[in-house]
Amino acid sequence: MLRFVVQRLISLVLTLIVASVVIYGALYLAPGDPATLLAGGHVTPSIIHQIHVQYHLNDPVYVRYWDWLTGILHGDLGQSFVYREPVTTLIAPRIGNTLFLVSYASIVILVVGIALGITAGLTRRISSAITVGTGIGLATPSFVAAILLITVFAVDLGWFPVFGAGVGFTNRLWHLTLPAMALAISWVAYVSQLTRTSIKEELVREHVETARSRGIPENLVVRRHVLRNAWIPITTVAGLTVAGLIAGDVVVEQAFGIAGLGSFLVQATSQKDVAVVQTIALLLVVVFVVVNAIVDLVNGALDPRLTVSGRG
Amino acid sequence: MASRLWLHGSGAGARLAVRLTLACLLVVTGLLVLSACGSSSTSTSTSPSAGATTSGVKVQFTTAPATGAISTLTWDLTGGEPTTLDYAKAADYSPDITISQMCDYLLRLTPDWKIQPGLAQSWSNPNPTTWVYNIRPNVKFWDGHTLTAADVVYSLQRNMDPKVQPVNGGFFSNVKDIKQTGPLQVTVTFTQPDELFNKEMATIAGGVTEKAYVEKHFSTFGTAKGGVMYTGPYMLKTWSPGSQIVLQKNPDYWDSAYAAKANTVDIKFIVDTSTLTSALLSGQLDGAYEVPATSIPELKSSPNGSLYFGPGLTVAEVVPTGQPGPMADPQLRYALGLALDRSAIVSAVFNGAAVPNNALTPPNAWDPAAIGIYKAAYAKLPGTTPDVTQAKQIVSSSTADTKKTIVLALLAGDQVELQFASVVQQAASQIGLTVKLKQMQPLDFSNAFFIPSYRKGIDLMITFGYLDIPDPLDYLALFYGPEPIFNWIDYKNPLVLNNVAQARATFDANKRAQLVTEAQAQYMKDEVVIPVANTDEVLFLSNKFSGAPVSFAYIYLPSLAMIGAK
Repeated sequence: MLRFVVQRLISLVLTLIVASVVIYGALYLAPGDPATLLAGGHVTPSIIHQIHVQYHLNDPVYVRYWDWLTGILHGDLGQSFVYREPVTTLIAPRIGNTLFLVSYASIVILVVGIALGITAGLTRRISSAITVGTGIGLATPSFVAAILLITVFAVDLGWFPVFGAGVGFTNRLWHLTLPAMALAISWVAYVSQLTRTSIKEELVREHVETARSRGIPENLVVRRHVLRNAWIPITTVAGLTVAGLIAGDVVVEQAFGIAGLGSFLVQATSQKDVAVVQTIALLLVVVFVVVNAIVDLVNGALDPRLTVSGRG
Repeated sequence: MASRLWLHGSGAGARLAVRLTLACLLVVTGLLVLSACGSSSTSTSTSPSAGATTSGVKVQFTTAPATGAISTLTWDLTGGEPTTLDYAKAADYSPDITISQMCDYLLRLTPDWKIQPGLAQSWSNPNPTTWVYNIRPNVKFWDGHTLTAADVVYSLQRNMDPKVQPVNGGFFSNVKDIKQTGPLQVTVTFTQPDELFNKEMATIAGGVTEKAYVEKHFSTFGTAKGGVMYTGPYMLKTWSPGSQIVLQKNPDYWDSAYAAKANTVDIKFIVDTSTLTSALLSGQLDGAYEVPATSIPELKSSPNGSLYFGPGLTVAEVVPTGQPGPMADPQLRYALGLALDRSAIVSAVFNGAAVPNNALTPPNAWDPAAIGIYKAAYAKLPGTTPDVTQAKQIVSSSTADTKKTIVLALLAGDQVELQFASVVQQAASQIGLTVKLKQMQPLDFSNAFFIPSYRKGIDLMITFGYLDIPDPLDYLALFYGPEPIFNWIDYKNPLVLNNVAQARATFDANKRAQLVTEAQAQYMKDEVVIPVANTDEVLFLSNKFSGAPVSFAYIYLPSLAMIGAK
């Protein structure tokens, strides 16, 4: 177990370093000079020059990268060009919003998706209905889902607010219900289809037939012999879903005016607000690696053949 | 481990699937129809108020005054979060609106652009190169300190300090000295007479802050960290970057006529048009200025709020960048302008909330003291009626390389600009010119405005600019004044430059108008820009409230303080 954790930590650090170089380089290569932003409005060539000197914008990219890297090692994540505040103070409130939204959506996706998938896997007629229904969800882009949900449930019916993340637990729950639904609609289909497939595969396995022929009641067969084995691809997909949600919530945050990491990342990228982009992007890398590690642990627990020291 | 995803069904299952699919499609379609519901009736009544020119919609300067106090007003900045709350660095809608709620200016505008006392209770012009301002006594900053003449001097001088990187320095270009000449008196002396300066003191250029506060927070003044210190009807309570700005009523405000009616104002930064429109329709937002034209049809049918249209000072123009190509030729620019159906653009792109415009500065910006001269001169400019035949002729008989593609840059993601640019592209193809649209990300687009190297490869740009006050010299200063940042084509016609400089030094309204209109005749003959429309100010306000000014003067008035219960 300790070896597992150490291995994963080393791989995380390496991934972060590579990712940081790639992101920094990409931002550097992307067109756009943040000088006008830093000046805050009308500028003259002399002001531009002043700003370039003040913010070291003309230094070679490896010098600027090194400055940034050494800053990180001292706990200084840098300052936002746009807001002129430390990145940490800007990101702190946004993390809460994104975390709440993604967790809410994940719970809905996993609970509903897996439940639908199991139902579809174990039945015949309802299965087709579920397939079609979730298929429509899969085909609906989150932005379209967002607009539809807002128009029907927020504007016409007035049951939910149109925008914002809210403050406090119940208030946030109320504000983030529609966004969570918008995020969930496409992913529920993905999870339920995969669950259904996995279950259907298990149902025709030899050991299941054997168990039935031994006279074991059907529900025990399903629980012990079918579901237990079907879980592995499901947990893998669940891990991918959660990680994918974090990236996918950008669109939903924009549509619902939520001050979260996703919308901040997009905004900062278009403004070439380097410190912010680096910090958020690397945060996403950390989350992705951690989620994958958890999935591996869970799979190892479910199937001893997939122990964490081996490869599945 | 391969994961296979497949959809299958037996015969019966397949039939059921088809029926279910149809049923689901019906439901989805129904929902879409439901959401698209809302008739879009277009009002085309034209009843212009005094001074405003005929628009496609009914135009008014202000709404009925509010009668009662309210607890919270939830407002939106359609331009997004302000990048600064420092009056000396503000040159865009969002910062301007927000600062005007908190910062008093030396003088104050009325909704119809007359000038009233502000922090200066009286002022005089003893000789052409001197203005004297008598500061109101006993005005308190939010921290309780009393406003002094020294604060006023410091505040005005910040607009001339390169360390501040001020945006309104152009209005101070003729200032020789700003001195405190009495306990509550400030005297501004000029190197030459300047007729624009005093008017600009009623806008953000006349902003006043507390010297001690700025000196203490020099590098962070105007940011969420450093905050601000002003005397206005609203105080900055909190600024949560990315989320909202909360303003709190100033209970000790010196001017009872503009004391805040709403106890708090929650200012949001929703930019996405769809989200904004939904939020206004649902009532989660009480109102917004600068409502995008594309939202007008939906908002018109809202049961909770109303759209108001006011005389505007924003101009929508197609501006040449001076790059070699067909658009470097004034004749071809003229031809393109001639091919544009401005009335059609006004109704299709701006949903009637605009007036066709035929000059660099619009009719709404005519100096009220010399309207006759401006009107006569405007009438003599080549008309706004499109003439595609003549335009085609100009293009075909041109000696320039008309086959070269013209690149037209616009702001990416802006529906209005996209529609506008598409119309221009279509008009060009009608007359034998080829226009390619280039959508630019916000940062690149704004860089292209100020940094010449960013305009390489671009021939034309869609611009939306605004004047602060009805005085063409306010806008002409940016093109032909001492710090011309928008003279991209490097236009140096001596008559124009001389007239603009002379007009700036001429206090007599009629003489000044003669100089400006003479220059206008010349630079419009040279088609320095292709003017298209002067947009109305578009305000959406909840039916529970009233009191908001509707003309573009709102941007330099404590407009949100004027909003209260109907």
